[in-house]
Amino acid sequence: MSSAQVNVAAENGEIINKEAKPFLKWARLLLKSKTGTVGFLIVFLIVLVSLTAKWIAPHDPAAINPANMLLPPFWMDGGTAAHLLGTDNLGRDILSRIIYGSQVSLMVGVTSVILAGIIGVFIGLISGFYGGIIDNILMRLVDSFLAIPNILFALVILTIFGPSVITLIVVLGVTNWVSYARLVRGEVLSIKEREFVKAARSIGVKNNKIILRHLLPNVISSFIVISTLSVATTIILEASLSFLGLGIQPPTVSWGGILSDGRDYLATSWWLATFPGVTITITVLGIIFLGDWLRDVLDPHSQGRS
Amino acid sequence: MTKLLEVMDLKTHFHTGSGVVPSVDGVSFDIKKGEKIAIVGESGSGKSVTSLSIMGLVGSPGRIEDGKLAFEGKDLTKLSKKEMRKLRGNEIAMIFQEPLTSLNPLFTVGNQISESIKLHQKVTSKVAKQKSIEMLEKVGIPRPDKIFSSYPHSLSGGMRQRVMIAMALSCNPKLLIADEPTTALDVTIQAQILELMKDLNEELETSILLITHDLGVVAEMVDTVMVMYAGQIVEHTDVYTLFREPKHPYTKGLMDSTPKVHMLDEELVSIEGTVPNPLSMPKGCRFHPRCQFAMDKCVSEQPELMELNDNHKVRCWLHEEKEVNLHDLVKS
Amino acid sequence: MTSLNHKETPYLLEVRNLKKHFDLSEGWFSRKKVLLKAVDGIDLHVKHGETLGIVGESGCGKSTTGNLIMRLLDATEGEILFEGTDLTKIKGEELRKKRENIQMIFQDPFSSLNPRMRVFDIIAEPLVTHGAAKGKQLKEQVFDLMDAVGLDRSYSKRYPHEFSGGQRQRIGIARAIALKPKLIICDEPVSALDVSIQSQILNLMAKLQKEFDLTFIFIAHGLPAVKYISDRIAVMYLGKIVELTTKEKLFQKPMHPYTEGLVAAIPIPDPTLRNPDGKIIVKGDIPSPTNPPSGCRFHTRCAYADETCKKETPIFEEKEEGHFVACHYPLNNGKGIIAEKPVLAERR
Repeated sequence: MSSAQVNVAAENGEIINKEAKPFLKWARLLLKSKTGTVGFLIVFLIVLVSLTAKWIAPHDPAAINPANMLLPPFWMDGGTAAHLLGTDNLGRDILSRIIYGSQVSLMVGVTSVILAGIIGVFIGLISGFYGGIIDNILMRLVDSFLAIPNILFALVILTIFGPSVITLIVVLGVTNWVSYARLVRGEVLSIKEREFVKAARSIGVKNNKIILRHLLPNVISSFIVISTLSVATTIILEASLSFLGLGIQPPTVSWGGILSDGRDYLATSWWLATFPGVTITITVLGIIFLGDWLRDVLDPHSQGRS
Repeated sequence: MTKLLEVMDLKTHFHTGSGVVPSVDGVSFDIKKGEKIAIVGESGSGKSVTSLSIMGLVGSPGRIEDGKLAFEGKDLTKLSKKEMRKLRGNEIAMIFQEPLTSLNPLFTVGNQISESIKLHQKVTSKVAKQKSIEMLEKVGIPRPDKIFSSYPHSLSGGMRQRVMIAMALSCNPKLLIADEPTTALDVTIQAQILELMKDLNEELETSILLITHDLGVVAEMVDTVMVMYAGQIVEHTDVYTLFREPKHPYTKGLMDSTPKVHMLDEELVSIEGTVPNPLSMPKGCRFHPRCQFAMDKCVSEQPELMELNDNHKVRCWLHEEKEVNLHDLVKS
Repeated sequence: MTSLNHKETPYLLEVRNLKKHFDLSEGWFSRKKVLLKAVDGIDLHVKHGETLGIVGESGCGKSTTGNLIMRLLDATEGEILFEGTDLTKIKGEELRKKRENIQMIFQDPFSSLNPRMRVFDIIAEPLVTHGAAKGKQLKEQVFDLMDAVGLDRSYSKRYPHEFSGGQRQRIGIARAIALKPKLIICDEPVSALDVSIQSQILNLMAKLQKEFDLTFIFIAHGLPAVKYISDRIAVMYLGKIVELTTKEKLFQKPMHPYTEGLVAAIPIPDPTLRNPDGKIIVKGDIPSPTNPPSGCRFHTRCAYADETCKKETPIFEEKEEGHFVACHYPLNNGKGIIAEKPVLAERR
C-alpha cells in the first residue's frame, strides 16, 4: 500500500537531472540571470585587464612628463589620442594608471575580505555553536574590536610596521572580521535550533562535522552577500589610507591612490578623480551582481526551480 | 429557513510567476440563517481561499475571476471597498487559526474590541466599553474587566481565541466564518471553544461557516458539510448522511484515514499519493490518480457536481447511472 | 566506568524519577530563583517491541522527556536506564556509540532535514558517522532504506525542498532506522501532516516496527494518533505523569479525572454519537508551568478536587495491575469513550 505512492516530485516534474558537464551547467545557470551575466562579465574583464596590464597599458604608469601635465581626455579641447583619459598633475597617463591600479586594488580588496571572512566565519561558528563561556569570551573580544575605530587601528599598525601591500591586507582583514563573526554567530544561533541539527546530534555526528556539514553550508549565503559588499568598502578604505599617506606607496598604484591624488584638482581637472571613481563603482557593482547570483545558485531551492 | 449567503460558481485564481493556480474553481453553495455549515478539506483544497473570497480579503496575486456572492441579495463582488469594509465585522465576521497574529500587540484587548464596536455602531466610548465587557463575559472569560485592560501577549491561546470570538460577535454579525478556529489549541481548550461556538449559534442565531480539516470537529459541530478537493466541492450533504454513506471516494478515503478514537480496533486505510500540483491539475476527475475506483471515463472527462437527491450532491462518475454504495463496492 | 553505570532492569528502557528544571532567573544577583520544572519526577518503562505513547497538552513536558531520553538535554536528576546503562552518566565517545541504538523522528518535516544536503546524504549520514558501511555497500543500504519507507530510488539526488511534507517525513524515518536502532523516539511525527498523509505515515511506522523489530516511544499532543499505534499510553500534565496504562483501559475506564476529560474532549468522527446533554468538558486554562498549582497540579481544573488535593501531592502508584495513577481519588467508574465491550461499527 505504501510502496506505490509518492509521485508528486515526478509530477511536479521538470527538474533537470541530466548529468551535464559542470562547466556547461554553470554556464547555463549564469546565462539564465541577466544581472549575474553582467556581473560576471565586469569582473572577468577587470581581472583580465589586471593580469595583462603589462601589455595593454599604453604608458608606464609612473612615467612623469611635465610637458603633458593635466591633459584632458581625448574628446575635449586639448586632449590627445595618446592619453585617452587625460593625464594627472605630474603628466602621468590616467588610463595606464587605472589599468595598473586594478592589480593592487583587486588583490587588496579580495584577499583582505577572504582573510577577514576566514577569521570571522571560524570565530562566528565556534562562538554560536558552543555558546556559554566560549561565546562570552569571543563576543567580548568582538566588542572590543568594534570599540576601536577601524581607521585608528589601521593607522597604528601601519605606522608601526610600515606601509606595504601585505601589511595593508592584514590590517584590512583584521579590522573587518568582527562583522562576519557577529553575522555568522547570529545565523548559527538560529540554525542551531532547527531540528536537523538536533537530528545530527542524535545520530551521533561529531561536533566538527556538524559545524562543517550542517552549519557552514547554511550560513554561507549570507556570508557571500556581506562579503561582496565588503570588497567595495575595502577598496574605499584602502583609498582613504592612501590619502593619509599610509596606503600603497608610490611608485605602486592603486585606484584609491589615484582617486585621492585627484581630489585636489576636482574643481579644475575633474577627470583625475572621476575616472578611478567610476572604475571603482563599476567594479563594485559587478562584484555585487556576481555575489547575488552566486548566493541564489548556491541555494538548492533555486536549482530545483530550473 | 431563508438563504443568508448564496455563493454561485465562485472562481478565485492566483496568478503566480509559474502559472495560474485555480485555488477555487467553480464553487457553489448557500448558507441559511442560523445554519452551521462546514467546508472540509486538506491543505491546498481551496477551503480557506473560499472563505477569504467571501470576506473580500483575497490579496494579490489572487483575484475573484468569476461568480456571484449574494449576501442577503447584495452581490458582494460588486461592492466598493468602503461598502465591503462596512459589511465586514458588522454583518460578516471572521476568526482565524492563530489569534495572536490577528490581534494588535500594541493595544489592549478592550481597546481593540471597543474600537470595532465604535467603528460599526456609532456609540460613545463608555457604551462601547460596557458592551465589550459584556461580550467578554458572554464568551466565558473570567474577570472580564481585568482582561479588558490586558495586552494580547499576556493571554493564553484559548483566551485569545475567546477574545477574537467576542470581537467578531460584538456587532451581532449574521454570519461568522471560522477558519480552523481550534487547530492551534490544546484539545481540552478546543472542546471549550467548540462548545462556546455551538451555544452562541443557538443563542444569537448567527450562521457559522466552519473551515476545517478535522472530520471529528465536523461531526460534532455542524449541520451541513461540503468536502473540497483541489479547488472544487466534491460532495455536499447533511452531516448524518455524509458520515453514514459517503458517496465520493475522496470523502470515504478521508474518513477511513481519520483515527476512530471511539472504536477499540481500528484500521487506518490511507489515500495513496498526494494532492495534485495546482499548476498542472490532472485531466478528467481531479481525484482520479488517487482513486481506487477510477474508470476510463474518470481519466478523460471531468464530472459535474450532480444531484443524487435534493439533499445530496456529489462530483463522481460512479453514480452517473445509478446511486452506488461505496461500502458495498469495496467488499465486492 | 561501565560497571558503575550499570543497573539491572528487565526493560529495554527504564526511567526513574527523571527531572529537568530550567533556570529562568535573570541577572547574576536576582533574589528569586525562577525554575521551569518542565519534567518533575517521572517514572516509566518501555518493554522490548512495544510502543509507549506519551500524550499531554502544551507545557506538559512530553517533548522535554523525549529530548532527555535522547540525551539532547541533560537531566537535572534521575536515571535513564537503557539496557541497564544509565544514559545520564555517560558522555563523549561512549554516548556517541550508544546513539546507534536510540534514534529520533522529528515533528517538523521542514526543519528536520538539512536543506543543503541531498536525500542520499541525509539517509547515509548515520551509516557514515558510525562507519557502518561505505562505497557500494553504503549505496545499496541507502537504496534499501528508501525502498523500505516507500521512496522512489530515483529521488536520491534531490534536495528536501522538492518533496511534500509526507515524503520528507519518510526521509526522516529512513534516517532514523538506518542504524537498525532498538528504540526510536517519535516526537509528534504526524502532527504537521494532512489527515490522509498522517495515516500513510502511521501505517508505514507500524509496518517498519514489525519488519525491523523496533520499540517506539510515540509522543503527541493528541490522543487519536497515539491510540492507533500505542500499546500503552502515559498521560502527562504539567511535568508529571498522571496516568499510565494500556490503551484499552485508558479509553474504556480512565482513572484520573484529567484523562477522563482529555478523552472526552476528542471530537468523535461520527455525528450519531453527539451527546445532546453536552460532554464532560475540563474547565479553565492550563496553568503556567513556571508556577504550577500546589498539591495535585490538576486540582484547579478538577471537578472532584477537595482540600487534600490542594495540599498534598498524590503519589504515582499502581492502583490496579499495570494501571498507574497519581490521584488522591481515582475514579472507580471513569467514563471512557469506548464501551468496555467493544461495539463494532454499525455502519457497515
